[in-house]
Amino acid sequence: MLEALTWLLLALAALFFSAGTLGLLRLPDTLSRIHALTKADNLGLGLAALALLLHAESWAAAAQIGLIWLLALAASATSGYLIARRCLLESHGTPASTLGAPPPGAPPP
Amino acid sequence: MNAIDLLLALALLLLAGSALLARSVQTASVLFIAFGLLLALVWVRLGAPDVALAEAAIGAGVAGALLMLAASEFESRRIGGSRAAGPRLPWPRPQGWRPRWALVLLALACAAVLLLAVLAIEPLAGAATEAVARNLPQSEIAHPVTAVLLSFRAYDTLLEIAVLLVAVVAVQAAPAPPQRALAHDPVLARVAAITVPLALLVALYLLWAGSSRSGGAFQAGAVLAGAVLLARFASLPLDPQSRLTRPPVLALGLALFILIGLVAGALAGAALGYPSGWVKPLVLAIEAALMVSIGATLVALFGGSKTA
Repeated sequence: MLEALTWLLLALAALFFSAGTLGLLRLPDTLSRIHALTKADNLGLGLAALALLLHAESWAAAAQIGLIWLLALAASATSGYLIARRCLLESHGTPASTLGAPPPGAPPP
Repeated sequence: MNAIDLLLALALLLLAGSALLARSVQTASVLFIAFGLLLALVWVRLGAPDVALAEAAIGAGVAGALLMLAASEFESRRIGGSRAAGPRLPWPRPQGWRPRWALVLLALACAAVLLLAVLAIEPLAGAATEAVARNLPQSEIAHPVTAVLLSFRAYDTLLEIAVLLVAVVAVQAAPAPPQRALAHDPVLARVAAITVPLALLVALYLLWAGSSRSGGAFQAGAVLAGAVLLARFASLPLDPQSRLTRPPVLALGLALFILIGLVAGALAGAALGYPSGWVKPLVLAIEAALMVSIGATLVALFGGSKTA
């Protein structure tokens, strides 16, 4: 039962990581890429941490896994925000370069 | 060697190659950081967590951040040209590319000499490991890596610290780059206010842990430098006067190492030796001073840019 749940969680984590990576590779502009990466990867990391929590040897080890997940969450959210802010600042100087530029061939809004 | 190790080794080679062949300095720097993180994983798989910690903190973290800073400095000085692509590297050359046979021959000769040198090394077959394990109880230090760094081969560590000091003196002698004002950012400031104290705690823990398990002055110093730099980027009032990068702090580690090495060594009867019973406090004192100096050195390498 525990094994099955662990494998299910790990498979879901891998799915979310793959979705995030696919988004990073395929989405047209920087902001959507950051969005795909941070959101999907944080969820994937959370699922992987949950799978590891099921096998933690002690409460201290479980707390460490939880703390690592929280720190990674804060780091990824902050760096995503910082990249997005830099991107916004740059886009004020150069319109439609990377920020919010429609994919080639898209109809104008 | 299983499938994961093979995959790691292949990914490492791939990342190294793409970092070398990257078209812009930024891309190459990011790939180098990824390379360092993967290399740290490889060290973990090889059973060397101390090296893995050092590689992640110094190789990927500090060196990667320095490369990114240099790349952005390089880019901001460029006039004209496409900004998004960043500075171009002279590789690969799109046209007029001819192999320089003299260079090719030189590189091949170097590779051959290196290969011969590697083949000439007598396999130790764990002789060093055995020697360390045999003498570990005598050294009064529980962790073999710390015993090697600060007791068996303390001379090597002393010279490494001296090299670091010379490097930072050279960096500080060069004209400082123009100071760029850092905009205050509420989100970064709030996150840094939580992360910086945690990082300081981790640095102290690594220092303390170094005497009995993985950790030590180099890793602790790198984490300390990271905390100070994060505080600086987030405009937190940690070290606002840049007291950390003044010459007495930079030289503290080397000075205390030499002092203890001479005084305690005179008592123990050998230079850089420790009198029995005093090993742990003396090693901890040296490591604490080294942590502060290494942290200060790494911060100093980032230049004296202060917040606006």
